Amino acid sequence: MGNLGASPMSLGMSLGEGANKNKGRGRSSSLVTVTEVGGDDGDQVVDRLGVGVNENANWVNAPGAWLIHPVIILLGKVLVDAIPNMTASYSWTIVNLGYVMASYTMFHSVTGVPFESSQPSGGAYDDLTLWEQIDAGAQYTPAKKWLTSVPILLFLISTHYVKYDPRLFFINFAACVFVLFPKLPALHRLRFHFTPLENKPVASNGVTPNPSRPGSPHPPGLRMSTLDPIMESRKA
Amino acid sequence: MNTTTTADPSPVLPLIGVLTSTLVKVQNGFHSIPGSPILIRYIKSSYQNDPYRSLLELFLVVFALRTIFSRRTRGEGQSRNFVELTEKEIDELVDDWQPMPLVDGPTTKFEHTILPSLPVISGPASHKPKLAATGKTVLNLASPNWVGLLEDERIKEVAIGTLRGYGLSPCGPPGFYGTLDVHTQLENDIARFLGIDSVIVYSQSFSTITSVIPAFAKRGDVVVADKSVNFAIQKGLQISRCTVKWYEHNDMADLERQLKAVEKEAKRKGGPLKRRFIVSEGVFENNGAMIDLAKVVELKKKYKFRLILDESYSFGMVGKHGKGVTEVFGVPATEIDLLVGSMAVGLNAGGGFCAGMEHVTHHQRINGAAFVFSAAMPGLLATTASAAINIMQTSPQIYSQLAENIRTFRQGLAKLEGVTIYIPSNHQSALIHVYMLSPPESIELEERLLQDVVDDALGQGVLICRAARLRGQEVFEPAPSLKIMISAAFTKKETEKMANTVRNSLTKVLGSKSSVKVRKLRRISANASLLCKQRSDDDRLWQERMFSNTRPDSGSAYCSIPLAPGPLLRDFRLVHDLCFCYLLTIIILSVCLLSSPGQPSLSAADTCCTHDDPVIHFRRSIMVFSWLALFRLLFPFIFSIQL
Repeated sequence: MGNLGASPMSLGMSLGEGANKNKGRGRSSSLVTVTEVGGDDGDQVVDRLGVGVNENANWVNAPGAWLIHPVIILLGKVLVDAIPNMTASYSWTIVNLGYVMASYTMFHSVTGVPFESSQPSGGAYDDLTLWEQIDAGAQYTPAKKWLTSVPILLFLISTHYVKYDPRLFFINFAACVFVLFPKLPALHRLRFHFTPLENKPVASNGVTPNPSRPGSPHPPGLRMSTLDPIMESRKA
Repeated sequence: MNTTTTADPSPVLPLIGVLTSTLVKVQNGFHSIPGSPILIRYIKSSYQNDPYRSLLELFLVVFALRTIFSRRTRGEGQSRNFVELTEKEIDELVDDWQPMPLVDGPTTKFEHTILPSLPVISGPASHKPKLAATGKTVLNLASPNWVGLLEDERIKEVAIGTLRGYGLSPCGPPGFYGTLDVHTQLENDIARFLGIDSVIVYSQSFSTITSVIPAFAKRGDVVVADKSVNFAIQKGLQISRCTVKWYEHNDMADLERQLKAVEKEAKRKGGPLKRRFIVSEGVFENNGAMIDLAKVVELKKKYKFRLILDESYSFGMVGKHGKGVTEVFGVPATEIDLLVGSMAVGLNAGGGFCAGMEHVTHHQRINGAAFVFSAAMPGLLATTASAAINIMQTSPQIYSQLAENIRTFRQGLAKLEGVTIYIPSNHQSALIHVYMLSPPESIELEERLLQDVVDDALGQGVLICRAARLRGQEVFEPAPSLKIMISAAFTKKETEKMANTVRNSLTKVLGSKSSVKVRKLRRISANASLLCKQRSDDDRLWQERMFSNTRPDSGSAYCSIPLAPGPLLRDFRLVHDLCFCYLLTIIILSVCLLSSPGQPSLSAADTCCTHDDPVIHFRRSIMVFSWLALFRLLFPFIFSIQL
């Protein structure tokens, strides 16, 4: 009964109200709402693991995938330097920002598996970003350590060449923190909504709020075990 | 201080010496590491008299080191309890395994008691079968036989002819040497009969809807379904893993409420459009009620849903020619996106079908699980189904006979209705469910009472049955009921006799008057229904309040959703977004280029003004934004041409 109609967004909690997993009429008054995606119910896990290795995320463990990061950064640096009148501080900033933007799009913005037809996971990865798909969600794996270190290293290098100009330092630092934030293990599979999810109780369950009534049309309210109002009026 | 050093100089001085020498050693060692001067230079230059900035950098370095030295955690499917077995251990476990019996036989005491009394028929099933035990002929109200084709001689001849010509059955699935010309013929016959584009035939009735739903609805898609849908639909919804929202049985106001909620939710969430379906039945297998098709079609159009209509019971039963609820409501069958029916119930043959537009059925030929993985149905079932359709088309008097029989039977039970029994079934429905009006406390007791009615009626020569349910597996547990199926094969007199018999049995078991308890309950139920109404009004108000913050944006891209699930749309969005990011970068770069000092001026305005002129900056930013807007508009267009 519960499985039928369970939706991916099964857990809801609101930062403003604490861990208020309300199903009733509680309304969120906070500006930021956090929801967890890609639930852990049996169907989802079986569909994710049933396909074996997730080819969409597996390539990050290949040596070439590690090497390509410095190569792309260097190539980007060369290309940006080719622009006339480019100074070292601006070129490093542009490279840093470009890397952050590209890696954010790739690892933290795009969700799902693009070639779903060849990997029959039944849409079980639809809500997960590439970062969350890597190594089946395990944290501190070699690939994740490498991918965390690269932007930090790039920031340290670029801020060095920026000659510690406070303005550019701030831009680079902000970009670095921006891309490190979604990599934090504590934020695994969490989504932040900056508009209140007011219709949450209805939307997140997938089923209608009051599924306890029997499907067969008894004349309303003749089975005593299933309808509370009768019992109540009886007591009265 | 002097006193301490002079008093006890010996332990401190050597310690300082050791420390100094260690420091020198460490320094030397550090300097001997290749690359250490770079690091020293870096740290020296990075300090820059700004400790806060250095602190931030140090913080990042510490964070990186902490990440690198943290221990790996476990991912999904790498649980602590996971034991890896060797090949030998696996073989041993396989050898040790003792299979359990698939079916244990009757488990409950109730099943044990009724098992010996279950009637066995000798000879072919018909509307007047012979009981094996006594040799007595009984009137059969327990088999779906609306048109009376169960023992029709014409059908029998067709079946024998096909059996001689084609043999029993192809042994492959339809896509793998299983399709016979008679299957295609049947598909064409049903399509022409319903006036619909195209039909696909499945080899089993139950699994038709169970595989049609997951062929179209996937995880993330939304299905709004009636709470009373039959077990096959429930299983189909479960397999599809889609999000299911239930509406109260045949409650059009509640259906609209759910559709509205889905629409609001989709608008709020944004993102790619999901496929959305309404799932219901023509005549409900669980209670014989009929869908309000006109209203449902109106709502589906209004809220842009697709309709999956299960006509397993209504096809061949209602309508002037037995075309089903579409004929009753005068709605063209083409309005139903997926019309699922059964040849096993109404046509007394076997298998099921799904009718719809050409690309709807075409999609199922490789995505309908039951079509792909199950052997094609025997040729003789296809030809008998075709023959049955032919008979239905040519002799509409069958349906007037059926309607008269239904009317007669319902009149026979009318005296008890509202007194001891309750019949939710539609007056046109040949499938009649009889519920007890004052059920006992437990479901088992209720089943027992109904079984007594069945036994009593059988003793008087009328075969009826209880509705079989899989307790514990239905989403919403249906109440026990008697299932009575009227046939056009009976005469009016016979129907009257059967109605009287069933009424007598019901009276004998349930009594003739509503008991004091029932009257009391009825009074309470009047209050209760008031309460219920109040509660549902409350719910509606609440939901309206909840959904009050609407956003005015896209809605009518209904036609562009691909019916078959595919990654095309998602890929397109990805490429589109990436291209947009790339373009943005190029434009930002060119702005940098334009505004950097010493660059020759490119626009005419620049020749007379300096670079710091705010007017020029303003013009430039306007230009850049207009370019951005133009590309944002053009990109989808360009890509739609390419795709």
